[in-house]
Amino acid sequence: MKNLDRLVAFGKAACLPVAIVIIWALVTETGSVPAYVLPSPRTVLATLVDFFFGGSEQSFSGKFLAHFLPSLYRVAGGFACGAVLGIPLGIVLGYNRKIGAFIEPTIELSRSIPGICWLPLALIWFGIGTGTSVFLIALGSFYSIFLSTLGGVRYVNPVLLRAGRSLGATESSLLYTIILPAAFPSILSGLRLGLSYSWIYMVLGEFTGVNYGLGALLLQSRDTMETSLIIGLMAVIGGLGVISDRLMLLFMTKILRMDVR
Amino acid sequence: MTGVVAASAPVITVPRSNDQSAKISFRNITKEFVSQAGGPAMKAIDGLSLDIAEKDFVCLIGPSGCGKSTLLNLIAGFEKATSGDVLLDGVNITGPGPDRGVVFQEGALFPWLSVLDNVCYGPKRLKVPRERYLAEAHAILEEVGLSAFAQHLPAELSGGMRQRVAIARALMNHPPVLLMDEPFGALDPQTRVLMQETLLQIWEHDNRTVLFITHDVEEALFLGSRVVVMSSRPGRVLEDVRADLPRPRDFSVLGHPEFVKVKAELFALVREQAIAAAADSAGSTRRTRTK
Repeated sequence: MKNLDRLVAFGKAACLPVAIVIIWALVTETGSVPAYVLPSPRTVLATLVDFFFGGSEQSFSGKFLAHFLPSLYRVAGGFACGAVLGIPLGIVLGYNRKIGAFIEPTIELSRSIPGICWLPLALIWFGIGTGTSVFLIALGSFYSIFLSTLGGVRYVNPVLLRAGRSLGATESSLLYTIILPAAFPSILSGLRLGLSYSWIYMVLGEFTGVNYGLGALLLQSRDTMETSLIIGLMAVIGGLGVISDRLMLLFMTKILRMDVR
Repeated sequence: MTGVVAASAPVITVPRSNDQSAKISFRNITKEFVSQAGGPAMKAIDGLSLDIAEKDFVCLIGPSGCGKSTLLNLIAGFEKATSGDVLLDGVNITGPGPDRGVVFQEGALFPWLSVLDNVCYGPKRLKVPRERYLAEAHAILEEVGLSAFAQHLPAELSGGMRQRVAIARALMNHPPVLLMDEPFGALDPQTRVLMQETLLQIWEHDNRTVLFITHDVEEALFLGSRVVVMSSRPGRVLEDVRADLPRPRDFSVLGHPEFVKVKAELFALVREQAIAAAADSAGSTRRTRTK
C-alpha cells in the first residue's frame, strides 16, 4: 500500500514536467520556434549524451569530467570554508551571548550586502578563476550555515538544559551532550541551504572567465550560440545540486546516529 | 480560614513548623519576576516559609499561577529567590544538582537518545562505571514496565510511557530528594491512576523525600503524606494537612469516607483561591483598560 501511495504521489508530481516537455517538443519539432532560440528536447538530450560520453567533433564532446571536476573542487573548497567558519562561530556566539553582542551585529550588517556585490572586489583580491570562485562560495554558504547553527544552539529547549543540569551535567558536558545534539537538525538544514548557495556562487565565480568549469562552459556556450548545451548544462547543474544535497543528508544522518550512540 | 480540615478530620494533624531537622526549608521566601517589556514586577511568592521533613511525600496544590512551580524551581536550583533562604539539609541551594532529581511536566526526555540512553544519562555524567549503571538501568526499566522499549526513541512512546522513562531517569542518580512538577498533568485519567500507583510502589520501598506539584486535589491526597495548599498569587501557605491514610495505598482508597470528606474540603479551599485569582486578574485587566 505504501509503495502504491508513493507511486501515485510520483505520478502526480510528474504530470506538470511531462506536460511541459510535450509542449516544448510540439513547439520545437514543428519548427515554429528557431532552434537557436529553443532547441527541441531531442537535440538537448543528444547534446548532453555527447557532452558526457563523446562521439562528435564538438569542442565540448566528452568533456563532462573536465568541466565537472574543477567546479566540484571549487564548490567543495568554498563550502568547506563556509562550514569551517560558520559552524564554530555559530556555536560560540549561540552559546555565549556576551561574545555575540560584539560580533553578531557586524555579521548581520555585512549580510545585507548582496553576494554578487563582492565579485569586483574578489576579482581584485583573488584574480580570475579558482580563488574568486572559492571566496564567493565560502561567503555565500557561510551566512546560512552560521545563522542556522547560531539559532539551533541559542534556542535549545531550556527544559532540556534544566534536565541535564539536574542530572549532573557540567557546563561543558551540556554543550556536547545536549546543546549540540539538540541543535543538530538546525545545523544540518543550514548546511543544506549553504550547499545550495555554493552551486549558485560557483556559477557566478566561473562567469568571470575561467577555461574549465560547468559555469564557465555555460557562459562560453552563449558565445558559441550552443543553446542546446546551455539548457543541458542548466539541468546538469540543477541535478548536481539535488544529488549533493541527498548525499549530504545521507552522510549527516549516519553521523547523527554515530554521534548519539 | 485555617484549621478547617484539621479540626474536622481525625486522620489529619497539622505538622509542626520550623523543624530544625528539615530536609528542605523555605525561609521567608519572596520571588518577584521583572517584566521584560518594562511592566511592573510581578510578585509570585510573598514571605513563604515551609519545612519538609526527610522521607516525607509532600504534595503542593493551589490555583494555577500561585507560584507552586516557582517554589519547585527554587529548590531545584533553576531560579533564585528575590529574598529569603532555600535550604537543603540546612545548606543554601546554589544551583541544580544530581542530589535533587526532577521530573518535568512534559517529561523533557532527550529526543535523540534511546530510552536506555536517556535513563543512563545521569550516571554517565557522574562517571559511574558502565557495568554498574547498565545493570541498574535495566532493573529500573523493568520496575516501570518498559524493558521491552529500551532501544526505542521517546517519540515512539505514549505520553504515559515517556513519563515512566522520565521518572526512571530521575531515580538513576539515587537522589535523596525527588521533585515532580505536575508530572501526570498531561495524561489521560486512566493512565494517570496507573502512573500514580507505580510512583507509590517505588516510593513505598525507598521512602525518599518527594515534593510533588499538582493542581489535582485527589492526586495530592492519594499520593501525599502531607498536602500543602497555596493561596492565589502572591503564593502563601494557606493550609497544611497530614494525610495519614493507610499505606500501601491503591485506588481503593479513593472511596474511603475520610478521603472523600477531606478531598471535598480541600477542593472547596482551592476553588475559593482559583475564584479569587480569576477575579484578581479580571480586575487588573479592567484597570489597565480604563487607564
